[in-house]
Amino acid sequence: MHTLIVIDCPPYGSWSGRESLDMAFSLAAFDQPVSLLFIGEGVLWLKQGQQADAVAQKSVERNLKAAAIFGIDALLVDNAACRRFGLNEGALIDGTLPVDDLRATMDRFDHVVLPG
Amino acid sequence: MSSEPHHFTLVITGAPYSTQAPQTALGFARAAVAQGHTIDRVFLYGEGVHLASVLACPPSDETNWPAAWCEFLEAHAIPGIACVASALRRGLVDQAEQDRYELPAHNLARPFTIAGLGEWVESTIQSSRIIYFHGGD
Amino acid sequence: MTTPIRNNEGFLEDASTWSEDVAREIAADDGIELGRNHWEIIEFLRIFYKEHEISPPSNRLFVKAVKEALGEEKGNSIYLMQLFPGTPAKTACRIAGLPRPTNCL
Repeated sequence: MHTLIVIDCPPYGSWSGRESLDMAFSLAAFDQPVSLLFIGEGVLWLKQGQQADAVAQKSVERNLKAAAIFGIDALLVDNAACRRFGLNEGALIDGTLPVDDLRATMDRFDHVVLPG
Repeated sequence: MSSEPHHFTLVITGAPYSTQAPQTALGFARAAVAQGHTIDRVFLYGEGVHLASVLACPPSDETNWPAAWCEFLEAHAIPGIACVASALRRGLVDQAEQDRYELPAHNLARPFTIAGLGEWVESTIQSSRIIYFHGGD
Repeated sequence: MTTPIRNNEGFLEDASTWSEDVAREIAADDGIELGRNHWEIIEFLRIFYKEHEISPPSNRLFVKAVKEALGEEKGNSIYLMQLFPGTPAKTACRIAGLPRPTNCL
């Protein structure tokens, strides 16, 4: 069973995305297949060059770079939302997979979770 | 009953008195049990852990949602679990965490217990449906 | 050497007080004498923490991360258990001067 965790809130200013990431890590810890999908303001999680220390927070960019190591299958991102936030592919952290059809993407998973 | 009974897990991520999530979830839970479905467990995550505070004192003309939930869980012997990482950040602890972190008090309402996300992972494998109750905005 | 302040489970209160001598002292409390294999894991954990701003959030993920970095021979729970008895992730984080895990998993 492959789970998709959806993050739709910005990386800073809201905490709930971080707790969604913990859910993904915990599935990976138990060897359950899991991927992440970033939509809406959530796409800002994937922007390269975040300076989170300036707002006294941990960098979600650095946290996300551990995702593959922990066994999270894919970092998917909504292409349309990226365009809306002016993020071209070069602006995103390595290994991000842009998707065009959200519905078809979600249909590929057995369990879709929007935790926050 | 028209269909097979379900085994639900409810995940509550919205806090009482800042969102309606705990209230909506309780309504759902009562209806589900009344129709013969089973609730495997209730998992409080993120802001939802505030529902397990024994210290909530709403005015007497408002529903005490933590108390209402505790009563429901006890009446139906349903495990209620608050995620430990969410709970520690927000100052919601039981006796064991009070001792571990050398805190001056504990405030977890019975029958809630504190455990890790592994409980939720187990739900994703065991329960036939997991329903999420968000704060939403 | 002044001993830095540690909490009731032996973790440093202030991560910046960590040094190799402090690591030896914390390890000694667990009855561990640090050898080359210990230092390899400690160094790996400290670099991982610096790079990702988190320590592996569970023992299983600790094992996975070590496996990814150092290969299967070292990234397995028996090897890590021998080096860092108890819960390896917790023991190793304590000696490496990283925050106390929240027991999340």
